[in-house]
Amino acid sequence: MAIRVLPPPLVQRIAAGEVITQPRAAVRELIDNALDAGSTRVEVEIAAGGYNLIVVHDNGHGIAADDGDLLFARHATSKLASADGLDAVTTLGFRGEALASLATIGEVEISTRHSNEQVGFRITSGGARSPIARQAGTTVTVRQLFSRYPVRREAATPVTEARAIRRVLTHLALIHPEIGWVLRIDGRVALLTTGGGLRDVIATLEGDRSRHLLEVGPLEVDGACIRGLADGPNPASGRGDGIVLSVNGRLCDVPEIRRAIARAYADVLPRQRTPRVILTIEVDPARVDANVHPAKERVAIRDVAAITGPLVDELRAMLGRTAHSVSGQRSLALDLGRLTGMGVAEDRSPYHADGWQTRDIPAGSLPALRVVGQIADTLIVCESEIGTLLIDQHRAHERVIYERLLAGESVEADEPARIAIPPRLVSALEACAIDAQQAGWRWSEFGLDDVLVTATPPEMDPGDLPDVLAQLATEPKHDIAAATACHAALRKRRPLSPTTAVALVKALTQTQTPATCPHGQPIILNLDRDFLERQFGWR
Amino acid sequence: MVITPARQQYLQLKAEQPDAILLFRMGDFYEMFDEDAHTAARVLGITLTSREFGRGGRVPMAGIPYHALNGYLRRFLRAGYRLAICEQLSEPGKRLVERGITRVLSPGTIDDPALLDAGRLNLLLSIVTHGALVGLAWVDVSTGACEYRALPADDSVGLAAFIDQLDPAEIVGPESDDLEIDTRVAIRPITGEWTVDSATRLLTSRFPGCEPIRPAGALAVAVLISYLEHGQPDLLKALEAPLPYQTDGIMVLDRQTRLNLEIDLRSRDRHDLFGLLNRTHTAPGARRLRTLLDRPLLDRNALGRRLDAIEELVGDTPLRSGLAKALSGLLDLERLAARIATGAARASELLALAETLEGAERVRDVLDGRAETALLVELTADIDALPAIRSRIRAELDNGSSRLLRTGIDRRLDLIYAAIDRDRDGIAAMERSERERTGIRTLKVGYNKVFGYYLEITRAHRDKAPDDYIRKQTLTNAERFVTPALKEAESRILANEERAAELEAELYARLVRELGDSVATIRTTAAALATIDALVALATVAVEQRFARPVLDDSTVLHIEGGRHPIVERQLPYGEFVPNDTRLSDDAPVVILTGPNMAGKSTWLRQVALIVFLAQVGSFVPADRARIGLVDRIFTRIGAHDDLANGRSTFMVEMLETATILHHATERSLVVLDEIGRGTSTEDGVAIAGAVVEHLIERVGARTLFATHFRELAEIAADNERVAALQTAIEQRPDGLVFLHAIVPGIAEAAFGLEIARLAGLPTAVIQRAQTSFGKTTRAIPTVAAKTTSAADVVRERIADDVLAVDLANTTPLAALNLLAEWQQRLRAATEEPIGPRALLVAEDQRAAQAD
Repeated sequence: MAIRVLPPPLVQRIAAGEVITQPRAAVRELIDNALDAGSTRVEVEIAAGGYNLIVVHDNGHGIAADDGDLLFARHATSKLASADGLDAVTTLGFRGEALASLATIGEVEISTRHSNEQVGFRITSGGARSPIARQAGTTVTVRQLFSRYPVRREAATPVTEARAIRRVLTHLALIHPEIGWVLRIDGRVALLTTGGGLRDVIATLEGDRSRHLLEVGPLEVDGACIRGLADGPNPASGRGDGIVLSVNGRLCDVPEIRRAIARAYADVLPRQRTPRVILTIEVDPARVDANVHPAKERVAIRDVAAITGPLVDELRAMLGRTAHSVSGQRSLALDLGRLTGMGVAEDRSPYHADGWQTRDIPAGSLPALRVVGQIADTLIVCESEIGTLLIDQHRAHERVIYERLLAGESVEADEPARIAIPPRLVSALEACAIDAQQAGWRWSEFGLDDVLVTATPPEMDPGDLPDVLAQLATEPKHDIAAATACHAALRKRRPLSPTTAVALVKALTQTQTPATCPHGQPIILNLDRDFLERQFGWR
Repeated sequence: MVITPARQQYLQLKAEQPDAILLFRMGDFYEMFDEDAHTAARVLGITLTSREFGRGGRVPMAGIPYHALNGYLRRFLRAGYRLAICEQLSEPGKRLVERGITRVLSPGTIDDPALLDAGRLNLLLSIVTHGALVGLAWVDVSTGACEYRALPADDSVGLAAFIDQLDPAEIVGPESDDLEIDTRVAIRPITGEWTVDSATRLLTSRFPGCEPIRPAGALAVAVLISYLEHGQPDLLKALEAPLPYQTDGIMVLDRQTRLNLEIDLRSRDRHDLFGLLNRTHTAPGARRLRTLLDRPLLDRNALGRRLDAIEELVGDTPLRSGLAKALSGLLDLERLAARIATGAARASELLALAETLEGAERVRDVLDGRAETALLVELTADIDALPAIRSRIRAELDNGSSRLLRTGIDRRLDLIYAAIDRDRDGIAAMERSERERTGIRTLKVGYNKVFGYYLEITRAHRDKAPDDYIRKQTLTNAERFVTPALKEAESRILANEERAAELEAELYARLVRELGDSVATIRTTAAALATIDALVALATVAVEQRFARPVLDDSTVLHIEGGRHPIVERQLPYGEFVPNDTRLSDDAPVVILTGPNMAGKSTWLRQVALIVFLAQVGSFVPADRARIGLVDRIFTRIGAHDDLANGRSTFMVEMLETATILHHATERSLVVLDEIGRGTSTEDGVAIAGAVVEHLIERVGARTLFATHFRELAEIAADNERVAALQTAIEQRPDGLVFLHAIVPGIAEAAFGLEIARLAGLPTAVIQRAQTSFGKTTRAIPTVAAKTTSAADVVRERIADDVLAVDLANTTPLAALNLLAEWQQRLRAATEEPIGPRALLVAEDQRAAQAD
């Protein structure tokens, strides 16, 4: 079908005003065009998150030379001729807006050759056009996106955009596994599939960790066909991309289907845990309204209930077919371990409160607290009006010591101590010589390998100096006070007596910044009402 | 003139290594004298000065600071010099410092990783004539790998080509030989007597299990050994048994062909095939990849094994990416092995060895039980991660403290260190005891680099210093003293430190020596890792650049579908490289390709040759499909270049290259000719080119691609069914020519020389002159010329319209002047900036630049 300008009434029916608000939207629009052109390979390249450069290159049928001049006209499309067509869109693009919008917000160059023609052409949004030799297919290059819209440019950082684009490409590779996808980010290959079955592609993208996914369908129901891969009842880990859906080849969300999937997994997975499900749905185009969302990210399917019911049944049957090995003992501690990045659950003594009587601590820089016990020999548990607090004992102690060091406390040694400094630490020693005074250390040069330590920070021993320096050498961004505090502080996996725990928490409430350790890490995790409600699904 | 002792010492040391530049350590500088000083000033660009040794003994001098030594050494070595480094062996005092040569370096005998280029072999080559043969032997002393070969002495071109391919960093040969070979590096003459008998005896004693080497090769190896013995005998310990250079099963590729195809330009800034393929993660991997490119194979089975392995790596992404991850960060195991063999390995290198062996284990774990193809399975079996060696290194070397070896390794050493500790503690404790003894509360012990340990008393208490205090240094507000006890403790410390250092060195040497027993295993592991790395690199490129596995057989077919030039493709924007098919077979092995310049002839010729080359390296190829009957040699004659240095004109070079092809090509060869007979008159050119083509068709029968401007040649194709005529497709449009870069059947109508000249910006007058006078005698140009309405003409017409449209009655003089200015500007712009075809031309230029 040739490109023509849509009649005005149709134009008014088209929902979107501004189509492209972020580079990721531009990438999606251009990929839609590539897919509509029947491509079997799509290569995408971006630089600086797409703000500087987006290239979408395909091997589809290309654009006929006669259509070249209408490429950048608004509401010009080859894909939709009349209002009737909009009721049964079979192509991914249809509004005739993508290239026109792009041309207004960036510099666009299109290089293309139609497979029936010998010579291709190159045309820019500036209007220059020239014939070229090239492969059949289309390459769209967008430069300086939003350069005249500084606000939009700041909406998302290049890194965020690059991540979002990579996510889009990953999902597209899953719902169009037959197509070879390449994504280059700032010159490096970030994603590459060569086209094949969904299982091959998922193995390429995710390696062995997705091997356990089960086959869904093909399920023929009410004129629709659904197939894909899904988690069994015992998913490997929490990581994964959740639910990926496509309708007639369009990557999109169908809220009803998403809810149906959640229903199917409701009694096998912990609540709030999304299963990994990849489904492609083919349905009569007349039943699909792709025009409900400006970025086409969501579609509506008429009479969707006729599909969701059987889908739930199918998923349940599939889950029933596999051995039901879900463990009912997924403890909160395990999830906390994941949340805080500490392997708490590995510890042999998960909790002890023997001999602990609750002890009240008046408010300081923290609200009034009651120390309840210790978990995993690592976390002190406290109650407070704001919630249940888990306090990292090492970091808490670090903070306490750190502030004392900054207050300038220093202890003169009875007798100067000779301390050998390994050669690899000499540069650390020299680098921190000035800060060291501040942090309560004093030493002088004493022979080639030695220093004579004459004063230390409180509770430190001169012999700790090499360890502190070693610590400092691994974290050059921090100062010797932080390194000293870290070295002097209580370690993880040390059982505490109630007295010690209380003293430590008390000291912490006296510090200026009780929430963050000197390395900028959190000290306290608050299991507040909101968190508990979310985790337990009370709401 | 009196010769001072220092000068005498210098002259003596210089006499030990007369052919080396002597870097003579004097304090913080390495000084060079006499002729060496002049050389240094010239090569390094440092200041030439002079120094007086005694009255009237002024000699030229140039020096480099000790801390910048490595940088200057690299420059000297790159310039081809041999260097002797002389260090001070005793502490400076009143008497003359003892000095000696501690290292001799030359470009081919570097084993210090700091001076080597990680991704390249660094070869030392020896050349010896023996009757009608020339023996060649070469070694990479950084890995110890040694090979030898003999070539006929009368084939100086072949010799030069082979040496060029080896690309040695240094060449040595007996002084008595006077070989006339054209080498890039001058041959360093060395003195000595070598006979076949003595050489054979030397080799059988040094390499007992080694296969007997024939005289020419044996002599070359013997010369190599003598040269190393003279300067760096330690390097010989890493020398592996020499292996005969394998020519069986290796495809020969002459130097010009390698350059024409841009296989390995050995340059960082230019795009070449090696740069494209080098996705290796380790230095030995990069060197192995270079070796693969240096030695394409003729053996279908060996190639099949490589292709199988690559196919497995291409198909199994988790395996490929797992290997890439395990390989990255591994250090140069080959060179570490050699450093251990020579005993030169430093402690940090041993620790690096332990770490890299752990990495080797990770690589093996990725492959083990997963890899299925024969080559990968064999390589996996070759990896021995030597856990015992790793734990021994970790157990003995102390990677943290100031000590080299850990406590508990040797009782004597521990005792010495304990004594040092005791004495140092004793000195530290003196602060307290001396305070008590003297009653001076501010007394301190301290240390500085010049005076050593001291006791410090502030000025106020100076008078309270006891009698046994010996004054050492006076400061503005303090005095520093030593006592006999302090002095005694200090000298004990110094003596013990010396003993500890000696003992440590001894124990360390023993450790390195014992590790030496495992060098062979380490080398096998290193070789396996390097090959795996190279294969993973080839597989990665195959995936990312969409290469396909070629089908290799013993036919003389060459079928390529959708072939691409991998380097040019990468330089062009997405989609703008046009793939082409190639079909050569027994029945029609010859193609004559016609078409104008810049239309893609050269690119296609090279791409076909590159695809064949890559297939015989065992790599996937840039094409959709390829079936290739194995080729015994690729010949190319591409482009025009004079060889002014040897007084050869373009035409002469062309003819020499063509002669080589006609003499050596067989029916299994691939011959690529781009324009022959161009450097002479058209008539002669056509005649010669025609005869060459006929010879290739009738006598040789090699698969041949021949690109030419001479239409007459293409007409041969019409008469001969064994020849196919192809042309580059061109579309003529009103706005200019479009080169389609497609290779299609037929004979090009015209050369479009004038059109191209115009696009290139030749002055219009010249073009018009060419059209009128020259055009009468040449076909085809008028059709093009008629269509070339230039942009400037259009603008001129429009301006004429504008002039007519001006209403003079209502125009002020100022407005008229402005109009004039505007027209002038438009006219200038139009003649300077032809629109349309110019853009094409720019793209073409890039392509042509790539192709050339």
